[in-house]
Formats: sequence, structure tokens, C-alpha cells
Amino acid sequence: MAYDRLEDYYWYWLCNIPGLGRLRINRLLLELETAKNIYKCSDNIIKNICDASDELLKTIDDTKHDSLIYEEFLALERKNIRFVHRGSGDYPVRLKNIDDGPIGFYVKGVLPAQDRISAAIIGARGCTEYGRNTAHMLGKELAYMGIQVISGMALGIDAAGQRGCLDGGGQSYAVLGCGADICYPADNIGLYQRLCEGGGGIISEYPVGTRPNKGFFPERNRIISGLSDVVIVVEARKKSGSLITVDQALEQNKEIMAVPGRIGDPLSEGCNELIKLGAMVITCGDDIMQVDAVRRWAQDYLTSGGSDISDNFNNKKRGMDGCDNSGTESPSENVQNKNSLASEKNMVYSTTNLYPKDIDTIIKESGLDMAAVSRWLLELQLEGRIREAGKNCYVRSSI
Amino acid sequence: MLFLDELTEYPINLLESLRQPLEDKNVRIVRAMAEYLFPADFMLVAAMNPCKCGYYPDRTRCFCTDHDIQRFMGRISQPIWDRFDMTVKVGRVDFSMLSQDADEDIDTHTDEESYDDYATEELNDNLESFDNEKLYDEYQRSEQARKVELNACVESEKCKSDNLRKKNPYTSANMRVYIERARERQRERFKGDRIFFNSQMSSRQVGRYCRLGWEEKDIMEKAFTQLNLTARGYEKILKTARTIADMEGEEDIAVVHLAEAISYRNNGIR
Repeated sequence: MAYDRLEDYYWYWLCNIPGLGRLRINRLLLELETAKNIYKCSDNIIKNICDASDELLKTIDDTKHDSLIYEEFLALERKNIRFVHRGSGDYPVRLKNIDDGPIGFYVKGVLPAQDRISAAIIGARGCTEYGRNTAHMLGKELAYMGIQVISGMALGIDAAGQRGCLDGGGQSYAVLGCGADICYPADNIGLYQRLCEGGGGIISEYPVGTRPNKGFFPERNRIISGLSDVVIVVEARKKSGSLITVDQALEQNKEIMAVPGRIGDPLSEGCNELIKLGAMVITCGDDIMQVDAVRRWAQDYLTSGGSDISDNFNNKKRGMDGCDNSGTESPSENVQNKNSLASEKNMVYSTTNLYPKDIDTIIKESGLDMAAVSRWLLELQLEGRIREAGKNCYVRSSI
Repeated sequence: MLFLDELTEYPINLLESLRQPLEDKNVRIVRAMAEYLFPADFMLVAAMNPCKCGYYPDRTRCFCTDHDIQRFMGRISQPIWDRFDMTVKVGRVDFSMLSQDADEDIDTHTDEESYDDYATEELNDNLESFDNEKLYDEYQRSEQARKVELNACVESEKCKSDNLRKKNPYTSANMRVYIERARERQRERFKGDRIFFNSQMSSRQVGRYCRLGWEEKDIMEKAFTQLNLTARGYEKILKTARTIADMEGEEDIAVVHLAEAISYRNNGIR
């Protein structure tokens, strides 16, 4: 076995000892520095450093002779999963800089690029259509700017942000609360596959094959925030798991941005609260330039000939300048919309917004009759401008 | 007519077993010795909620997880959805409607079924179906009497109908006129055929009676691919559109009729 592989194995072994937690491993590493030293040193020393019980010492000893761990380690390669540990050359610097970073973790695909800005898009699982669209739009715009999107691949905001990033041709990375070979939630299997194919990756601290567990999710959140430079909260209830990520991000000294919402909207309470506490407001991708680190990076990147990115910047400017009027929605503005629609169609379109609206309301607001409304709704649907979110409830498909 | 309230509460295999009678209008039981055929020509009307709490897709009030909603809606399979000619979302009833005088002639939607947030119905285009011609003759005789009485009404309504539509077109009285008109047309249309209603048309008859212009064809082609329609769904849309056109007294199916018919489909929306 090559030296590096052996080294990898020591670390793999260290991370897979039942009953030996991160706290103890950290203490051991502080004294002994590498996994190899821990493997080689005597029980007594280990006992002294992390006052392990006899039982634990026995387990540690047993695992040294356990061929199963070795076989699992070898099987990783067959599954196209890589084990990255603190001793690896490409262990992300961002994770080194946080307290309590993972000792080792598993990657399917590739790791986030170190020289690019990465942003986390997080939020509620049970989000509104508006939130989903917003997350998608932000993901896409960030991708245009060459920013990587990190998230948890959960239903709702997480997945929408990552899909948006992929749709914009960017790279996105998911940090899971289960083994990297398991797609959780199973509904997102399409996204799971696209992430790897799109040059992104699936990251997990948990060994291959680990089933999702309630307790794992708050833990993985620290990696999400740890891997990102900016954490963007799109929609969150007052008590939301996303706010745990925010707390951890603050401890890790990351920038927090929140999408503002209306007062009294339960899914925006968390975001509005964050803004009150000093989070930056984000309503379009460009807003991320408020963050000093991002601005500096963008300038460096543009001057140092990151041509693909600068092209994208220009594309973005040409293609989607929806930034100025994204939130506001007065009918007159829509009539003057550059998309020249027939006036009735326009009226129907202007009654729809980012919240699902049922057909009765559309009929009432547009003043047209059922036949006309259903006709224009169908056409708008076929053009992909709106979609049916629930039975006879229509929502704009983009901002 | 078979009315199933709270459709999602029925056992799944029971709902699935409705597929055959819905399609063939009979129940066929095959045993070793013989094969029995029971006539089962019925109209299925069903009502259900969009999710456990009934608020979906209004996410500010609906706290159900995506998984809950999928499980709830997943109880009804796509082939079953496909067999419904019309599915309609019924909005919440507001207080003014509730407190309205019961005798008043209000919207047809406000019978007991509108308390459900979501009603699904298969409207076989008609209120009754007939098994044999004897019954049909009887029906025709009784209809004849009603027709004479109605005719005057229909005639006067016809010229007024456009104005009426703009005011409140959907009162029970108006709807009755529309339905009578549609039935009359269908009777005329199917004189030589052994069927009475649009819903009974075979694919060949659909081809004959539901001719589309190029604009209509174009929109159906787009809809078929983009909205993932099935062959059955496509035919059902044409039949429903035919009926809508009949109700409006139109000879040809226009885009608006198709659009309305398509809005009644349920294409795997959660």
C-alpha cells in the first residue's frame, strides 16, 4: 500500500471507532498530531490524554484488528467516494478555520474550489412558492457570478437554491445529514445526480451507509456554514432549523444575509428578525457585493483574467436585469413590461404573482370571464411563464 | 350517481378497482364456470381536501410537510385522476354566502359540497345515463313535454345570454338553460349513433365530432407534450371541450373551450 493510502487509512480508522467522539479525537490529535501516531501509541497514553474507559480502550484495540473497517475503506473507491481528512492536502481551509471542524468527511464528486466565493442558500423546507422562486433566482444569479452554492439538499429552499445554481451553470455542493451515498430526502434524487454531474459534490461527515438521523442535521449545518463565506436565509419561520445554521455561521464569523419579507408572513418572521439583528438584506444576486470579501474577490477575479466569469457577468447584465423591479408589482409596471403580450393576456399575467392564486381570484381581479382567463392561463402556462402549483392555483414561474 | 366524500379516506385498492367499471361501464367477474357481467353505468363524483389541514398550497397557513402532502395526494393514483373528466378547486365559502337566505337562488356551487375546499367531479356531461332504448323513449316523451315549456324560455334566453353571462351567468336557472341547450345539441348530433351523450363517444366518433382547426390543433399539440397528457386525457379533453362548446351553442370547438377543458384536468399536480 502506498504511503498516502496508508495514512488515509489511519485517519479513516480514527473516524470510525464506535464510541470515540469528536471531542476525544480532537484532544488526542492535539497531543499526538496525526492519526498514525494515535494508531501506534499505547493504551496508557490514550487513557491519559482523554481518560477513556477500559471498555473504550478495548474497542479501540479491537478496531485495529477489525478487517471490516479496512474492507469498508477499500470499498469507498468502488463507490466513487473519497475520504478527506485533516491530514489531506486538499482539506478545505475554510473548515480548518472553524472550531469543531470535521476530523474527516466523505465526498462524492469534488470539493468546493478554495479560490472561489461560496454562499449557502438555506431556509424552510415547507416554503412558499415565492420562497422557492426566490431561492432559485438567487442560486441562478450567484452561479452567473461564478459563486458556488452550498446547501443541505433539503426539500424547499435548499433544493431550490441548488437547482437554481445548476440551472445557471454553476457548481453546487450539498452537505448531508446521512452517508454521502444516500440521497435524503429521496425526492431529490434528480438533484443528487445533477450535483455530481454538474461538477459539484455531495459532502457528508457520516460514514457511507449511515441512515439519516434527527441529531445529525444540526451538526451538518456547521459544515454548511463553515464551507461558505456568506449565508443567505431565504425563508424561515420564527423557530427554524435554518436559524441554527445562522447561529453557527455567526460563531464562525461568516456574513449573514436575509431575504426580507412582509410583516406577519409566518415564513418571513425568521428573516425579518435576522435583519433586525443586523443581517444584510438581499433581494438579488448583485446584493452579495455588499460583502467586503466578495467584492474583493470579484475585483481580483476580474482583473486576473477570470474571463469566463467576466463573460458571465456581462451575460447577466444583458440577460436578466430584473433586479430593480423584482419586488414591486404594480399593474402599470407590468403593462409596460418589455414582453409585449396581448393586453388581455397581460391582464391575466399581471394578476398572478409569486404566491399561488386560484382561478376564481384571477377571474375576479382581471374582470375577464372564465373562458378568457382559462385560455390565457393555458397560453402563459405553455410559454412557461406561469405554472400550476396546486389544482387551479397558478403562480409565476420566475421573478 | 356515485358520490364519494373524502376521497382520500377510501382504501387504495377500493379506489383502484373502480377503474374498470369507470371505463367499461360494467363489472366483470370471471369464475371457473362462467363469466358474469354486471352493468355499472354510473357517474362518479368525489370530494376531497388538498392536504391534511386543507390549506395547501397556501403555505403561510398550511404547515404540512411536502412528504405529508405527497402521501395524502398519493393515495389517488394518476390513472384514477386520468379518469376524471373534470376536477375543480372549490374555494372557501365566505360568511356572506353562509348567511344568505336559503330560499334565495344563489350560485350552484353553494350546495353542501362546497364546504369541502376541494371537489372533484366526473361530470359525464349529463345528469342521467340510459341503458336501453325503451328507457330512452320514455325519457324522450317526458323531455318533449319539458321542452315545449322550456323552448320559449330558451329562445328568449338565447338572445339575453350574452348579457347574462356578463352579470351573473352561473345561477341555477341559467345553468339549466345551458345544460338543456347542450343536451338538445347532443341529441341532434347522435341521432344515427346508438349513444346519447358526448361522454359516450368512441375514439372514432371523437374524431368525427370534435374536429379542430389548425390553431386549436397547435395548442393541443403543445399542451399534450408540455402538460404530459395521456392518450385518454387527450380524448377526455376533446369530449369536455365539445360539451363546453355545446353549452355555449357553438358549432366548432374553439381555443377557449379547449383551454377551459384543460384547466379541468389534473395532471399529477400534488
